[in-house]
Amino acid sequence: MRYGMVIDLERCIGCQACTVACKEENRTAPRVFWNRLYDVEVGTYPNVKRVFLPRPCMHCAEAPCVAACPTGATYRRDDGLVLVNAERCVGCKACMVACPYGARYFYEGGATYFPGGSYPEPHLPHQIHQSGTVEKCTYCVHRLDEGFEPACVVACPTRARVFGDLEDAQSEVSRLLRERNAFRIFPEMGTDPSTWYLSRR
Amino acid sequence: MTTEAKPNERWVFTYCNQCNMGPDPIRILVRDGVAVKAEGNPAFASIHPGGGRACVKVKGLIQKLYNPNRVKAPMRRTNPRKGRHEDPGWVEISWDEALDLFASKLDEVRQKGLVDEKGLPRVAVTAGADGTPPAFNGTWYPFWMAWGPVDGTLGGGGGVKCYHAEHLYGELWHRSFTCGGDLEYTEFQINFGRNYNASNGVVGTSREADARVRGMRTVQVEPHLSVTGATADEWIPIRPKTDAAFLFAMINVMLHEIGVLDIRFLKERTNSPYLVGPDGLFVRDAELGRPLMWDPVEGRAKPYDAAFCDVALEGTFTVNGVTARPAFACLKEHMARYTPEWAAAICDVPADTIRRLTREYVDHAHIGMTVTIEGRVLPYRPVHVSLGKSVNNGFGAYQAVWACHMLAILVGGLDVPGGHLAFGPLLNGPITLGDDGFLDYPFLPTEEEYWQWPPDSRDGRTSLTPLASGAVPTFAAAMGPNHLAWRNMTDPPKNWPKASIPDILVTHKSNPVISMWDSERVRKVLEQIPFYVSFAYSFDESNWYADLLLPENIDLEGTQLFPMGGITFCYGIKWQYAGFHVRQPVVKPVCNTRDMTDIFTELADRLGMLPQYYAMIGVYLQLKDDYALDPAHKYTVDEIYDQMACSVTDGEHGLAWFKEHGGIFFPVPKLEWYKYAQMEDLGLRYELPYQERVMRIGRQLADRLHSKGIDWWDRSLHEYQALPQCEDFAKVYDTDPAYDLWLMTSRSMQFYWGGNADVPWMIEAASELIDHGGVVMNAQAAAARGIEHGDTVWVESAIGRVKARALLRQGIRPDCVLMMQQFGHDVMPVARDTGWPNMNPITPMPHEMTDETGSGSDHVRVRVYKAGR
Repeated sequence: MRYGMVIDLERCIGCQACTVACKEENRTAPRVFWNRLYDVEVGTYPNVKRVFLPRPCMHCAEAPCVAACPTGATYRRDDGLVLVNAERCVGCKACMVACPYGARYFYEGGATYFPGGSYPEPHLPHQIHQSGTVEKCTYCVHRLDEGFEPACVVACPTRARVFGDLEDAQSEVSRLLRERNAFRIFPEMGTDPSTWYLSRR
Repeated sequence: MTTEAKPNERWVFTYCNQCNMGPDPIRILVRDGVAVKAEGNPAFASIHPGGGRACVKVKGLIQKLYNPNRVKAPMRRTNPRKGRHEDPGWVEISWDEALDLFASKLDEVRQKGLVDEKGLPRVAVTAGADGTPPAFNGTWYPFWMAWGPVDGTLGGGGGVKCYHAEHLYGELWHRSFTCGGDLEYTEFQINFGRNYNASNGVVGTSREADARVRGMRTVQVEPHLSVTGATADEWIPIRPKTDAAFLFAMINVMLHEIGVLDIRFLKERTNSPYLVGPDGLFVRDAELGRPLMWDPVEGRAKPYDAAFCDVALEGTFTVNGVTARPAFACLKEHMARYTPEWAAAICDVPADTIRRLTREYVDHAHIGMTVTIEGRVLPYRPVHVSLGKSVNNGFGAYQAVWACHMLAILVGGLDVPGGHLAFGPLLNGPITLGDDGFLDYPFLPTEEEYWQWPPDSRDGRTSLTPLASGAVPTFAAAMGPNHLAWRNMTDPPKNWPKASIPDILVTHKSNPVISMWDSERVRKVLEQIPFYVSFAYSFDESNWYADLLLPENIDLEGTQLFPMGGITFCYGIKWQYAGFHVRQPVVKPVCNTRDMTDIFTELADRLGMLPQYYAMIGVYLQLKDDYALDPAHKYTVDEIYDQMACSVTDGEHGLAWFKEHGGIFFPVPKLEWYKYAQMEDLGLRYELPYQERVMRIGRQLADRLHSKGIDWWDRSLHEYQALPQCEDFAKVYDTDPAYDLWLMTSRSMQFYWGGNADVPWMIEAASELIDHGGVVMNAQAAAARGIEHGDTVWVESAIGRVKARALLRQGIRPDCVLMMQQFGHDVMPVARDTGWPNMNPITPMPHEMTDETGSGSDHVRVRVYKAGR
């Protein structure tokens, strides 16, 4: 069993529904992006391409953040999820330096979207954030543990994200990796990410 | 895998209509009485063509609901002076006080007369561009229908921020308020500025994504590489306002180089064979005045509805003593001058590119192929060309829309599977037979005895733009020259009566100071309006001038039953199901708000109008006789929509059932997607390529206007051509060398139609895109001006300047700059903190740059320089 995500760049329209769905699901603070969608240009006018690249956590099998964590707060579960135990995190940020994907954020606490507002955040039990700790995408572990897909997968209007067991040959993610051109980011670093991308034509 | 509710949670079904591709079914998770999550409703996954998903805007609804910056109660202005720097001095009042005040002002108008001495309605109402508000404003329309004449032309962007020429000519040619592709089949599409990844909602974008994965090829022709250009296979950075020239050259290549056409379609379904005389009019039979066609087998001309062995598309014939040629022959000769080389010099696109793409278009059209839909054999043409905003507006728009439809008919691809399809709300009614074998169309009258003079609306549409259609009430801001209303109230052009300021203005989901051009002019008008009522979600730049703020139950708070799906309702989407879906309060109202329907019922009651109001509700909601409202009873909003629920289900379900189940849907035959079938059944021809009727109406209109000494519309009158002439329309705008750049705009999905510029999650999401947050400039062009990324710059036009942060990009032409969406707020909380700019304040609204349909284009010439200079 190894949870993984396949993101089809042919389908992605850069709408940021994944980014906001993550915000809504996890009530992260302003400017904290457990899921971030990069909008970048490649080339020089007029030979230029505009590329959307959504970036959840890669949930690496050889996660540099796990190795870098001095307290054992960051750990990898048997199902492949890389998680942070906030109770053990001392906020040293070594994991942030180690992560080549920029997927980790330090939560300072305090900031809200409506300063001094009445907006009820955070609200759900899993949405509690501990100030002074590092946090990141959990693949929505609280949902997975109840049998539901990550919020970003459900929210994508163009069905660009598929989630499943990379070790199950019958799964949709495995089928897509077989049938389409797939790649991972920085494979040469030996991180063995669980987040895959399907190339555009 | 979907989420089930826990004991202290429940899912509430409602809809999202934050853009005009909706409504779409959504569901809200409520935990311990607090709404915590909004998402697409998987219960309708098999019915909703987006698989029960939702777009990013739905993810802003929770913050929209609990926004602490909302107007929390009715408020009355205490400062009698109105001005940009005059604090309104809002004080909270009770609903009774607010409604008494509103009703008393309406009653004053009624005592004076609904129409003023200039013949203009004393009450003006606007629900923005009308595309989304009807799903939220309950009985707003029935109330005003019961009231009598109101002026709906003080829009907040309708007419200039829409697909205006496509709306008007699309309605004329094939009842198509908007046009689009048939994405389940499309092999190849060329989009001229069409930005569907921002504007086509969850259904449109998911269909596009499916088509890309299937192998559809897309070419995006636009000056700035948009979010839609990002997913295209090829980007062609065309010079602004020259799309028509590119399209004309494609027709030239098809007619004069490739020569592969759907001859049968042209002969049977268009006016290509109609004979045209030396005067440019159809040659008609003496008896009934029917246009004639030439039968080459019999060697004679006969009325178009006679029996023919064959019809001639080319040749010169003597008929009724005059020399006549088929319209197609005229077209072919007319288009000969518009070569790819001619277009290349105008568009800044190589001639070879135009040739290559035209060839590709024709190759993918598969002329001759058919497909069977529900037992009926129809042509199969999996190609289309679509147009975006500003291509569809202002000078060049008629040419672009005509050419776009011509490209469809030359390959037989109009309203057929795979081809160029008609969408929209059937503003002018269903497809019916009119004169000369064409679709009927209710042009506004231009005959001397029926022409409207003086103008009876502030934009003057009934006197100026006959294409705006007599079937559409002046409620409909989307049809007609709305921007001219603001102009005509301030400095009307020569010999045009100065429009009066309305006694009362009522707005809903509209912020014209931000969304209309020439903001200072709009402010000047708002300052003068004696009594302005704003249905207000938050404090904004327009209701700064209001006298009364009425906060209504918003998206997740109000109650309504509304049509969903089908083939005519959405602006760019077809469903295989149609039905009705509920909007309901997911939680108790967060503030002291009331439902729009209850507000209007209270007003109608106070004004003694309940019988008329109920009668109009019956018309608007199409209540069957058994469910007509009883004038003796004062209905609550729930009771009104309970009557509608029973009416649409023949008594089977009441509102309570809808609140539990969401919606009810019935299958729609797929064949109804394709209007070609209806045209064929009625023996109708598309009124293409030859615009004899448009030309005749233009001549009549010219006579009318000239008789009043009006000559400033001559440029627009020139557009009424049977075969449109193309030119370099960029020159219409590019008149002063002091301004060396084009300022344009584009949209993003986070804000498209959303009215959500003050939702922080949307702001934050949009700020992650490379276009949002300032003025986008080509990096090389910026360097030449000494501008670096992040510099503060002035963007200056002939009427003003706005400050913005420079965002340097490669994906924009060096002669263009761009400001996304419409910001520039200085009142609305959250939005005002962004510092994001808006092109509208520095975009003029001259009559002289308004085309014959009444639209102008979002293009203005500017110069850009570093602030502090």
